Amino acid sequence: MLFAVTGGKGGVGKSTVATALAFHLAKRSKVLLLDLDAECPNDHLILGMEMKKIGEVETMIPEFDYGACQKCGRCSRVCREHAILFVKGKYPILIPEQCIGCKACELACPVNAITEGTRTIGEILLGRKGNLTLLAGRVKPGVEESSMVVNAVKRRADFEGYDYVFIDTAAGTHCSVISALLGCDVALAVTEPTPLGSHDLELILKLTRKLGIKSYVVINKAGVGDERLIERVVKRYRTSVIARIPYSREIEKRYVEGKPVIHEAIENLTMRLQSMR
Amino acid sequence: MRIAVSAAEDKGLDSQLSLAFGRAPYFVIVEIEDKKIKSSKTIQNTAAQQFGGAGITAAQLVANERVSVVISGAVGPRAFQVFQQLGIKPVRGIPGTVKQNVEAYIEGKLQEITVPGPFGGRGRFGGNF
Amino acid sequence: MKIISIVSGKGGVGKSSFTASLALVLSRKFKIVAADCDVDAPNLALLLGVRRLEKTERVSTRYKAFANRRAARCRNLAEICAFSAISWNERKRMPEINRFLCEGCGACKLACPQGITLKRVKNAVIGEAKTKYNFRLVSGMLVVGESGSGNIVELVKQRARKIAENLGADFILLDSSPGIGCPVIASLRESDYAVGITEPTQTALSDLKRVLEVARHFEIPHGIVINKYDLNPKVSEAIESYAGENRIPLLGRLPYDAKFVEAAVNMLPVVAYETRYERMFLGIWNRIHRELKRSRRHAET
Repeated sequence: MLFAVTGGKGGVGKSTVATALAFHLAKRSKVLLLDLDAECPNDHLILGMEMKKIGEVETMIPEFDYGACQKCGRCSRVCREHAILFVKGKYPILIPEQCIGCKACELACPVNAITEGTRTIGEILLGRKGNLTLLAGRVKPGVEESSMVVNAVKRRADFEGYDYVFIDTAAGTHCSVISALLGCDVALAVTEPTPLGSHDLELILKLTRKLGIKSYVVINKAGVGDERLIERVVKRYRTSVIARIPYSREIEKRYVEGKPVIHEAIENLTMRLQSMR
Repeated sequence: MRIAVSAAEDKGLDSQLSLAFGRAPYFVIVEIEDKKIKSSKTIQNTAAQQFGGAGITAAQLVANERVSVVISGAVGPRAFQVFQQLGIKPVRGIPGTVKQNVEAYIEGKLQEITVPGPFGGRGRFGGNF
Repeated sequence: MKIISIVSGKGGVGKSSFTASLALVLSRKFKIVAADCDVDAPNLALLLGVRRLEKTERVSTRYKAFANRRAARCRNLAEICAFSAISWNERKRMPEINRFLCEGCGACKLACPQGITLKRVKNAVIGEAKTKYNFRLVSGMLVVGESGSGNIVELVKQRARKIAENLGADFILLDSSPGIGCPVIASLRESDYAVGITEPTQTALSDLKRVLEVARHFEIPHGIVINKYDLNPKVSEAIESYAGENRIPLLGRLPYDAKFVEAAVNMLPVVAYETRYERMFLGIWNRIHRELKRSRRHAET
C-alpha cells in the first residue's frame, strides 16, 4: 500500500509528518520513504541520513545529423516548446533548456536526420539507516521538468519487500505533485488550522478527488488556530481527520533542530495506517 | 548591413526604443549603407505573447531578417547564447527613438552587450558574485 | 519600471506575508502592482483582504491530446508517447490518453494525424483587484488537476506589466511559489531583483541555496531576508556566513514574533496589524533599493 503525504500549502508539515511516520515505523518494520519533492528534497536532512547518488535522470534531446539535414525547418515548426530555432538557409539550432524530450521533431523529420541524444536533468539518491530506506530525487537547478525526475525515482524504486511505503510530495498541486500522487492508494493531506491552511487544504483535496485517491486529513499545529475552518472543508469533501498533531514547543524544537518528530499523535497515526493495510 | 532595433511603437524610425527585447511589440529593421540609413521597415514581434523563451523566438525572428546587429535593452542568458550561435551582436540601446539609436550606433557610441542579464553591459553587478 | 521577485525554495517561511507587508510599505511611496505567481495555491489575495477578484478570465496555456475512433488504427502510440500518457485500452480497442500525464506536445498527432486532436484546455483563472491599501493585485490560479503553471505565471506577469504600464507604476512585486521548478523559473526570468526569504533551519537554508542558484543561472541579482531569525541563532549565523562567502547582501532579519502569526490569522499584512514593523520593512526596502541602484550603476559604467 502506497501512502502519500501531501498538502497544498508550503510549510504545513508534509516532510515533518512523512519523516516522523517513517522514523517511528522503521523501529519495527521495513519502511521505504520516497522523497519526491525533487526540487527541494529535505527528508535526508531531517532523518540525518547520508545519501549516495545511484543514478542520473536523463531526458532526450534531439541531435541533428547535419549531413542528412535538408534545412527544411519542419522540426522547428512542430516543436511546441520553441526549443528548435530555424533561420532560413541555416541548420536548426537546439535550445536544450526548452526541450521537454517529446520527440515530435524526430517524428517530423522527413529525412530521419534527428537521433536521440541525452541531457541530464537530475539525480537519484539512496540512503539507508536500519530498517529505513530513503530514495530521493533531486532536479538540477534551472531545469524545468521536475516531474520527470519524480517519475524516474518512482520507476527506480523497488516496492517489494517493504511493510510500509511512503511518498513525500512537494507543496502545491502542480504537475510534479500530480506525478508523485499518481498510483498512490491513500493520501494524508497535512494542514494547519488557519485560514491559509484551510484554503490550500481544499485545493489538495480537490486534486486527490480528481485523481481518485482516498484522502484523510492530518491537522498539524493543532490547538493554535480555529479547527472549525478545517472541519468545514473536511465535511465538504466527505473525508475525516485521521490525526491531530498538537503544536508544542517540544515538536517545534525538534523541527528547528532538523530532527524527526516523536509524539504520541504520530504513534496513534501509525496504528491507524497499520489497520488500513 | 542590417540592424534590428526593438521598438515600443509602430512609428518606424521615430518609434521609441523598447528596452525589452523578447517582449518588444515591434522590431524596426534598418538597412545601412555607407554609414547612412538607406531604408527601414517595421515588423511585429510575434514572440511577444509567448510564454517563456520569448527572447529566443524573437532572436529567430530578427535572424530571419538577416540582421547582424540588434539594438535593445537587456537580453536573457538563453537569448544571449542564441545570438552568439547566430553570429548576431547585441548592443545596448539608449532612451530615444530608433533613428537616434541607429545613428548613435553608426557613430560608435553604443556599447556591445557582453554579459546577459537585466543590466547586461560591461562588467557584472556590484556586490553579488 | 522594475520587477522584484520574492522567492524562498522552502514553503512556509513567510514569502507571501513578506510580499504583502513590503507591498503595503512601498505603496505609500511609489506606485506599485502586486502579482501573486504562486498559482497552485495563491494566498496573497487573502493576506491583503481581497475577497473577490474582478476582470477574471479563464485562460488556456495548454493543449492536450484527445483520441477519437480513427486512432484505433494506430497501434504504436503507446511507444511514441515520451511521457507514458498513452496506453492501449483492450476493451475499447483503441488508444487511451491519460490527461494527467499528457504534455500536449503533439508527437502522437504527428504519428496518427486522423486519430488525434489537440485541444486547448482552460487551465487557469486570472483576475485582479484593487486592495484596500490602494494598489492593484493580479492573481492567477491553476485549475486543480491541470498543468502548465509556468506559462500561467507568464500570463499573470503579462497582465501585471500591462497594468503597471497604464499606471506608470515604478515596481511590480511578485510573490512566487515554493520550489525551484517552472513556476519559480517563470517568476525569476526577466526580474530585476530577487529577494530570497528563509528561516533558520537546515532545510530552509538548503532550499534557499538551490533557489538562489537558479537566480544566478538567470543572472538575476539577489539578496536574503532571514525570517524568525532568533528561532535558531546557530543556523542564522550559518545563513549569514553563506551570504558573506558568496557576497550576497543580507537585506534584513525579521524576529520570531507571535504577531506575524496573529496577523496572518487575521488576514492582514503584519505592518498593518502591528505598525512598529513598518520601520523594519522600510529598512529592508531601502537596502533593496540601494542594491537595485548599485546594479544599474555598475552596468552602465
